[in-house]
Amino acid sequence: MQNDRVFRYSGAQRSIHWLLALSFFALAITGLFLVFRPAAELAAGGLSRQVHRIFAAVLLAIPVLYAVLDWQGLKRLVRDSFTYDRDDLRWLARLPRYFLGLAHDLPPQGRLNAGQKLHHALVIIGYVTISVSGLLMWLGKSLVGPGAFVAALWVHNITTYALLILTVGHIYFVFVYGALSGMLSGYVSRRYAELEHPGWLAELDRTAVGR
Amino acid sequence: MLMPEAAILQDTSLCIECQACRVACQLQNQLPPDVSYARFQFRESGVFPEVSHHVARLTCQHCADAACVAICPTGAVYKGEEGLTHFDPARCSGCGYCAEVCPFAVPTVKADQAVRCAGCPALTADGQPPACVQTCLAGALSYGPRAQQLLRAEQRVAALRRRWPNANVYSPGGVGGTHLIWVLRDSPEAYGLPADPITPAGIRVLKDVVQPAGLLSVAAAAAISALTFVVARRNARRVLTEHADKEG
Repeated sequence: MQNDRVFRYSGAQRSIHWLLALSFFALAITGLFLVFRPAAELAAGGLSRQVHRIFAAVLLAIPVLYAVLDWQGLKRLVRDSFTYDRDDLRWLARLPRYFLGLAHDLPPQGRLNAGQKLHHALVIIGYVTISVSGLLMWLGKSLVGPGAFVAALWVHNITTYALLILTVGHIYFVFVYGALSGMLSGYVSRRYAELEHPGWLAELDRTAVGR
Repeated sequence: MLMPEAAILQDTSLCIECQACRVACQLQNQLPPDVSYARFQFRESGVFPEVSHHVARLTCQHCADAACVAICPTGAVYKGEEGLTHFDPARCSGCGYCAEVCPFAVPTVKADQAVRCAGCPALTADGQPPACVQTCLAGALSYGPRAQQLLRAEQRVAALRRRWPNANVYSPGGVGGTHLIWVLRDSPEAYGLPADPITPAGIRVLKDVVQPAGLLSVAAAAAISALTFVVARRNARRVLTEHADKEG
């Protein structure tokens, strides 16, 4: 029955999401060859660097692609990620319970819950720092001094670990709350939306554009 | 058996600019003719007729506190027992980090490989001088215990000072001292050498603290998630079912 399901992620959003996931993992794996010493042999010869640079270019193109496919969606995502109200702060205070799958009695949330917003916000910040430091190490070589190069390496490293930890958490929540099908089909169950995103559901029903 | 710290002494006042050291290096390392681990910088200073000509054979300075060794992600650049910096091309990923952090801007990268002095590990492990030293016709290059080499350098400089008042021993402390010691007739700048090179800060902390701590944090996050997953998944299902029952 159509009423059981609510449309949540557009084709553009899903494509962007999976492209980001693909490039992130390709970059993380080829990058870690240079950090995780037992894997260092895999970096010899330079093939992993070529792969790293190809996916770096893909990663850099993603915001452009997002803007072309869904400018309004991109704007809303960035705005929402950095806007928090009182309910969001109360929601974040309950994050430990949410981590353990206890999603009842949570402060009402809109399209995104405060955890998702915070995740997006940190990913956006990490995207900027890893891109700037990476570009510096790639194209800025010999333009900056050794000190700036080492600083860029620090930023690139720390951002990598932060993003990996965020990704571990992201995947964890996806499977705890059975959210994978949403990002595959675009639809989530109405039950889930009622429980976790009542504000968003009300908004959808009001405007009646989301079926 | 512990090898004593060794050093190459490079006396610019004796160099006849034949570049046989470069050719010996290319043979030793089986390099094509257009690739070289040594670069020659020629500088002139003064006004005619008081003109000086200086030649600097720029190659690895074998810093004691070597930034390239610290930063190399694959261990392709490493220190030998004798203190020279060695290089194993087979382990090189061509990342070029060594080229970026070298205070003397010596290494370069070509075709996904660092181009840099290998320190002739096969020779020095045997107690023999590196190939460049072995071939030097003019005796401008020599190899031996570092303390002795420093003493010899001081003596040479003292003798040179009669004609070259700015003559000096160049083995800068900012990089922990070097295992390639120069006898210069004039200031380092006159040779195009940095007056006060320093090893960039923060490389060791990045490699020895930040990277292991970062990897460990990611592993810890994954371990905690794996431990709580089953409970959390069961809770989430229960809460959703209870909610549905309540709503009818």
